[in-house]
Amino acid sequence: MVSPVAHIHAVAGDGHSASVRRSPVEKLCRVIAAICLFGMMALTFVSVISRYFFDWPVPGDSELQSFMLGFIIFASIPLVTRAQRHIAVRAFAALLTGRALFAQRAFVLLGTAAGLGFMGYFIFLQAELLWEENIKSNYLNIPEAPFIYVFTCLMAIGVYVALERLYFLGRHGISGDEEGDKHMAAELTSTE
Amino acid sequence: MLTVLSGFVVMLLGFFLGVPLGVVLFTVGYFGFAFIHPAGFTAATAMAGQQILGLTLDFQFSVLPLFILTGSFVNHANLSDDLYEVAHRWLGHRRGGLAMATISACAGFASVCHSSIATAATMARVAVPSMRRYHYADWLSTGTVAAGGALGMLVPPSGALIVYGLLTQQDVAKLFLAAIGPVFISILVYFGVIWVVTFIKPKAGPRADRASWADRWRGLYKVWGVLALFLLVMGGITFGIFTATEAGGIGAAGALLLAALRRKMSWKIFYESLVDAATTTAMVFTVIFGALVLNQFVNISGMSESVLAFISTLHASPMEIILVIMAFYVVLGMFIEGFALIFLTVPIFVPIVGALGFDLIWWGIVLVVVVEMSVLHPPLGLNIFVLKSLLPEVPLTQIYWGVIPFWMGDFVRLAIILAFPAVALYLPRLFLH
Repeated sequence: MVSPVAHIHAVAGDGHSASVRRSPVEKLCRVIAAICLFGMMALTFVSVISRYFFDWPVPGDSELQSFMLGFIIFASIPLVTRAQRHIAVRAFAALLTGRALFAQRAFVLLGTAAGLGFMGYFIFLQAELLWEENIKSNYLNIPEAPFIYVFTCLMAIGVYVALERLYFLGRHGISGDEEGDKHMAAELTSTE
Repeated sequence: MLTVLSGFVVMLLGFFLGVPLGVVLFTVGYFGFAFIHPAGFTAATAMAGQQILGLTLDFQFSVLPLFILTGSFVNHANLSDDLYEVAHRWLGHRRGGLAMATISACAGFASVCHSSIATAATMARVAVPSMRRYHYADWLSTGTVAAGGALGMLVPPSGALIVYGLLTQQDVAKLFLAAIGPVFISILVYFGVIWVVTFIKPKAGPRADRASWADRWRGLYKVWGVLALFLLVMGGITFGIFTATEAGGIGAAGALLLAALRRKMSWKIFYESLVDAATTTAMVFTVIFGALVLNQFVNISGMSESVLAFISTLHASPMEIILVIMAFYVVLGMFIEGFALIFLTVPIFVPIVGALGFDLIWWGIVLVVVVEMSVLHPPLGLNIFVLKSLLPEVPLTQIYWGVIPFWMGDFVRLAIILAFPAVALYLPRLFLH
C-alpha cells in the first residue's frame, strides 16, 4: 500500500520531495518515523532469522515493536496533517468554489485540530494513569508512561500544524492553503 | 435509537463536508458512547483513550506498516516493466492479448505492491504506451489498467485485507489465503470481459507479434524476484513458518534487497520510502482509531440487535439479506470508496453478517471485492481519476466507457464468490485449520 499522491508524483517524475522546505520539527518527525520503521523491519527480520537459525528469539522483540509502532504513528500524524493527506471524502467538497470552499477548508482544518486535540488529551489521561500506577511492560519491565507522554507531545504538534494551516488559510485565502507548504516554508522555517 | 440515527446523520454530514474520516468516526463514536453509557463522558473518555493506546501498543498491528513499506520499496525496484514484458510475450499475440497481459501484470505487481492506486498508476505508465503502439483503442487500454489496478486491493498480501482483519480481529493469514481463489477468478472473468469486448469490436484490441516459446520461457527469468518475494511471504504464512507480522518484516527486507540488487535504491530513495510508508501508516491508523471508538458506540447502542430483530420480521433468507447489503454497498460505493467504505461499514455490517451465521473470513473477501468495484465504477471511481491525471489527453468519457465492461464483469465475479463460498474458504481451511 503506497500513498497515492506520492506514487502519482513518482510516476509522473515530479521529484516532489526534492524541492520541499521543511521546518526543524517536521524534519525531526520524519527522522523519528523513518528510524522506527526501519528498526521495526530490522527487528522483525532479525527475530525470525535468529529464532530459526540460532534458536534464540530476540528478548522483548514484540514490546519494542509496539513502542516503535506508536512512534511511527504519532510522529507521522503531524506530517499527514501538514500535507493534508488525511483520508477523507473530498468528492463533494471539490464542487465548492469561492466563499463556500473557504468555509469548508476552514471547517475541515478546525475539525482536524479539534479531533487530534481530543485524541491527544485522552492519550494524556491514559499516560497519567499509567504513571500513577507505575505500569511497566511485561517482559522488558520498561515504564510505559514516558512513551505515552511523548506520543501526547507528538499529537500536540499535529494540532499545532492544523492550526498553522488554518492561520495560512485565513491570511492568504484558498491559494494560501493550497500553497501552504511554500508560505510556511518562506515565513517560518529553515531550508532543507 | 434516536441517538444512533443522529450520530449517523452527523457522520454522513462530516464525510460529505470533507472532514478527515478518523475525526468524524472518532467524534460520533465518542459523543454517541457518552450519551448512551450510564457513566457518560467519564466512561467515554476512558474508553477512547484505551482504544487508541490498546491499538498502538499491540505489536500485532505492526503488520500494516511493514507491508506498506514492502510496497514502497517494490515501487522503486521497477518490477512493473519486466512483469508487463513477460505477460506480453505469453499473451500478446491473442486478440485483446495485450489487455490480458496488462491484467496479469497488474495482478503480479499487486502481489508485491499491495496498493490499488499504485498498481493502476504504475501500469498506466508501462502498459498504455505499448497498447497504443499496437493501435489498441484508448477506452480499452485505460479501462483495462483501471480494472487491473483495482485487483491490487484483493491480491494478497493486501492492505485492505489487513485493515479488515485488524478491525474485525480476524486472522490476517487466513484472509490472505482466502483471497487467492477469488483473485484467480477475477483474472479469468476480466480475461472473459476482454475476449467478449474484442470479439464485438476486434479493432479495439488487435493481435501483437507472437513471441517464440524460447523467448517466453527466457522472459520468466526476469521476474524471478517478484515470484520469489511472493512465494517467500505467502509460503511462509501458509506453512506456518512465520506469522503475518513476521511475513511483513521478511517481505520488506526482501523488497529492499530486491531493489538494491536491481540498483534502484539510493539513500535518498530509501529514506523517502520509509517516510512515505510511515505517513501512509499514520493516515490509516488515524481512521482505525476512529473506527474502533465508533465500534464501541455501535456495540452498546444495540443497533445490530435492532437491525437483526427488524430483519427477522421480514422472513428473508440470510442470503437475501446479504444481497440487500450488497445492493447497499454498490450504491454507496458510487459516492464513497476504498478504505472509507471499509471503515464506515465494517462496524455496522460485520456484527449482522456474523449473527446471520456467515463466515467473517468469507465476508472480508466479499467486502474487498465490493470495495474494489467502488474504486472502479462511475461517477467517482478513484482509479478512473488516477488514469485521467496520468493520461490527461484521454477524455474522461472514454475512460468511463472503458471501465463499464469490467464493472459488469465485477458483478459476475461477485456472484461467483457469493454463490460458492468455498472459492474463498477452501485454502484457509486446508492449510490453517
